[in-house]
Amino acid sequence: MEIAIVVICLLLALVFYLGIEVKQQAIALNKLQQEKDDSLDTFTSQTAAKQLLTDRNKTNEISEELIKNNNQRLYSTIANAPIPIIVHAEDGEILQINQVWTELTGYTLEDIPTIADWTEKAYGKRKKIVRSVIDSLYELKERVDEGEFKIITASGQVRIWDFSSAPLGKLLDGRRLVISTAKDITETKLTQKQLKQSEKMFRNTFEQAAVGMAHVAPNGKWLKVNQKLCQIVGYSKKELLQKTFQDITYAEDLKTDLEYIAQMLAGKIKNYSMEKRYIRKDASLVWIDLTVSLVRKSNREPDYFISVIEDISDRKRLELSEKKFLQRLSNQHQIDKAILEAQLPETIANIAISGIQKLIDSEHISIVTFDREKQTATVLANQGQIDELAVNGFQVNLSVWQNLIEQLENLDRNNHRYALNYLSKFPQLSAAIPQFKQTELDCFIAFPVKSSGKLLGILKIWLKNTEKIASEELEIIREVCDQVAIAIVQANLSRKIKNYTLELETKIAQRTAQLEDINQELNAFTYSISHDLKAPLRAIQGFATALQEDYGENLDEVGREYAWRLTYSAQEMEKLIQDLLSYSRLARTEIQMRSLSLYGVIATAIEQLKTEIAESGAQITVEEPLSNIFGNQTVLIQIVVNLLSNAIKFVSDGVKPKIRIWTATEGDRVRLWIADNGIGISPQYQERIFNVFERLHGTETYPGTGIGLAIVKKGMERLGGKFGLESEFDRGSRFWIEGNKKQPREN
Amino acid sequence: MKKPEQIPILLVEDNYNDVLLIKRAFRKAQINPPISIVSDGEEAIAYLSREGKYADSATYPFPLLILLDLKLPRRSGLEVLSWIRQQPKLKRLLVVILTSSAENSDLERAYDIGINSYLVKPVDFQDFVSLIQLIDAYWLKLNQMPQSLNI
Repeated sequence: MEIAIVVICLLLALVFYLGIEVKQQAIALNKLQQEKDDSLDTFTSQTAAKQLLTDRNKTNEISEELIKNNNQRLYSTIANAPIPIIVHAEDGEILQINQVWTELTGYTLEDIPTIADWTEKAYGKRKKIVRSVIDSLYELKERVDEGEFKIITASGQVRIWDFSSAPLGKLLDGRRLVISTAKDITETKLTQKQLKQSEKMFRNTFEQAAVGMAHVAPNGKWLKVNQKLCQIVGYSKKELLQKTFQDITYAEDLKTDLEYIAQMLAGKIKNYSMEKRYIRKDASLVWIDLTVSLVRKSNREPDYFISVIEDISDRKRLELSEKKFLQRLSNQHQIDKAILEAQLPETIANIAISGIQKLIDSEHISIVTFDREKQTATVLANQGQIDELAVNGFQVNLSVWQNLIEQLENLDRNNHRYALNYLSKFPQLSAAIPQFKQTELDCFIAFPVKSSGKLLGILKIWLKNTEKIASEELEIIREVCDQVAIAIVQANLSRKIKNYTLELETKIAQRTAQLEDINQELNAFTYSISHDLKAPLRAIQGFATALQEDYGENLDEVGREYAWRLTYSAQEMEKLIQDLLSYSRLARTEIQMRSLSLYGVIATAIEQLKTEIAESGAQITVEEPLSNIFGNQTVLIQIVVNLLSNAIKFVSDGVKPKIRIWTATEGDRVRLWIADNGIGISPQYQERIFNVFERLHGTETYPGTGIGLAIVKKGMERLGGKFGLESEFDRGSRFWIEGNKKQPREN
Repeated sequence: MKKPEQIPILLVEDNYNDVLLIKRAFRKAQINPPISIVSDGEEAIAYLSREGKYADSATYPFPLLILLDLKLPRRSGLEVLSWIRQQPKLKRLLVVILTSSAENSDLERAYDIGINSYLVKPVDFQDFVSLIQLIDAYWLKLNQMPQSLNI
C-alpha cells in the first residue's frame, strides 16, 4: 500500500516533470515557429528564406527528435508502471493504458479506444457522472484526487479504484492531455470491511458475553470491561475503569492473585485460573472464577491482561449450603448421640455450641438454663473467643433475665424464632454480667430453648458484626436449641428417675430387711415349735406312760383311760406339730427343680404309707405309663403322700379304699390324677379344703390335722404348678396336680 | 470289750422332765452306766475342764460319751461342741446330739463342727427306751473306743 503510494507519487512527479519539459519544449518549439514565421514575415529574401527554412527544419528536427525521445520515455514509464495509468485527450481519445490497467480491468486499448468506451464499459449507468468528472479534468492546472470509483472489469468483477489525475500538456494538435492514475484499493477496502466486521464481532462478543471480560493493565487498572463484569461487581463501566482489580479484590484472596500475576509476568505460566471474591459496590462479596492470560507487545513487554470472570456465587452458595447441611447433620448426629448416651446436659450443650461455632462466625455463644422453682438462671455452657467471659455454673437470680424471658416468650405470638438484642437494652442483665461490659460485645441473638411450650433456657450468640446470618443458619440454631431442650428435659427426667429409683431401692431394702426379720422370727418360731413345744409333749407322754406302767395297778379303769387319753393327745399333738413344720418348711425353704419320674415319686409315697395301706386294705392301681414331671422330688412325695392318705382315710365305714393313679399329658403339660371311691366333697367346700386347718369332719370320725391339702396347695404353688379336684358328695373324688413335663425354655 | 458299767456318760440337759425320762429309759432298758448330769453349756465346759467341784474325779468321772442337747442355757450345745473340738485333750470324745430339734440348719452345723451321731428325742416313751437301747448297743458295746482321748 505504502509502496504503491510512493510509486504513484514518484510517477506523478515524473509525469509532471515530463509534462513541464514537454510543455517547455513545446513552448520553445512554438517560439521557434514564431520566429520562423516572424522571420518569414520580416525576411522575404530567398536566402533568408532558405536559411530560415533550414533553421526551421533544423529546429523542427531537433524538437521532433526531442519530443520523440521524451514521448518514448514517458510512454515506456507509463507502460511499465506498477499501477494502472491512462493517458487521455480532451476529445475523449485514449492515448495509452498501461499493462497493469489491462491486467486489472481486462480491457486493452483496442477495447476502450475512447473515454466513452471506457465509461460505458466500466461504469455502466454511472458513466454520465463519471464522464463529467473526467471532462472537468482537462481544465486542470495541477494534480487532483478524484476519489474512489467502482469500476466493472471485463469479467464483470467490481473493483474499487482511487483515481488521481494531472494535466499532461497539449498534443501538437493542441488537444489537452490528462494522465490519470489509479490505486486498486479493492482488497484494501475488503480487508477494511472485514476488519470492521470482525472488530464489530469482537466488540459484540466482548460486550454481550455471558461472562465478565476485561482487559487489565499490568498495574491492575481496568482498561476495558464488559457489561457482565459491571453487573457482577455492581459498578458502572465508568466507575470500574477508575479502579484497579486490587481495589475490588477481597483482601484474603488478593495475595494469591498477585502471586499468580507475578508468575505470569515472569513468564513462568501462560495463564491461570482461581476462585476469589470481589467486593461489590454495595460492600457485599461475590465469588467469581477468574481466568487470566497475558498479552505481550511485539517487544515482549507485557501489554495487558485478558481476564474472564465468571460469577460462581450460586455454586459457592450451593457448596456452602451443602457444607452447612453436612455440618448440620453432623451437629444433629453428635447431639443425638450424646442425648442417647444420656450425657450430662452440660456436655450436650458444649457439643451444641461447638457445632454452631463451626457454622457461624460468632464472638461468643452461651446457653443459660432456668430453674423456675429455685428462681435461678445458670450458665450451662459457654464457649467463645473470649475465654474468661463467663464461668459454667455461674448462677444469678431469675429476675435478672426477666425482660429477656418475656421477650422470648412472646416470640411465638409475633411469629419470630429468635430475637436480635443489645445488652445495653437490658440494664439488669448487663449489671449481672459485668464481664460483657468490659468487652465490646453488645449485640446478640437470643434463641429460646423450649420444650412443650415451656422456656427452659436461652441460647445467646454474641456478634461483633451485625452482619446478616442466613435464615438457614438461624433455622439450624433453632434446631440445636430444640435438641438442647430435649437434653435438658431428658436430664431432668433421668434425674427424677434416678431419685425414684433410689427411693424405690431404699424402700425395697427396707422391705427386704423387714422380710428378713420376719423370716428370722419365723425360723425362731419354727425352732421353738419343734424344740420347745415338743419337750413338754414328751414329758406328758413320758410321764403318762410311766404312770400307766409304774402305777397302773393302783389306778381304776377311769384312771387308766385318763392316762391313755393323755398319751393319745400327746401323739395327736406330735403329729400336728410335725405337719405344721412340714408346711412351714415347704413355704420357706429353697426348692431345686428338675425333670423327674413320677414312678419314683409314687413308689416312695406308697412305701411311706404302707402301714395305713395295710391297715385299711386299700387297693392302689397305677395306670402306666406315667409321664415325667418338672419339679422337686421331696415336695412331690409330700404332696402325693397327703393326697393318697386322704384317699385312704376318707371312705365310708366298711368300704375298702380303691385308688387309681394315672397321668394325662397335653402339649408340654402333665396332669397326675388320683381318683378314689371315698365320701367325696360337696362342690361348696371344694375351694376351702385347701386352706390350712380346714376340716370338714370331726376328728372322732376322720382324725387329722387339717394341714394335708394345704401342703398340696403350697407345694404346687412352690413348684409353679396347678392343682384341683373333681368330686361330688358320696361319689368319690378325683384330685389332680399339674406341671410342665420338662424345664420350660426361658425367653 | 469293756464292761458297759464302766463307761461313764455325761448328759447335758436343761429340761428336768427329759432328765427324768432319760434316766427311766436307761432303767427300763436295764442299762446302768454312771451318768453325770449338767444342766447348761457353761457347766458342761466346767465339768470337762475339771474346774471347781468337778476336779473330784471320783464323784465326777470323766465321760467317754456325751449326750448333748442343743438348746441349752448360757452356752448352746453347738458352742459346747465347738469348744470340745478345739481342745486337744477332748478332740476324740464321743459326742452324740440328743435333741428335740430336727432342724436342718442345726443338724448340718453340728456335723460341720464334728459329732459322732445326731439323734432326735422321740415323743413316744417306748421309742425313747428303744433309742437308749440302741445307743447302748452301738456306742457303748459295738463301737470301738479310741485308746486315748489324748492325741
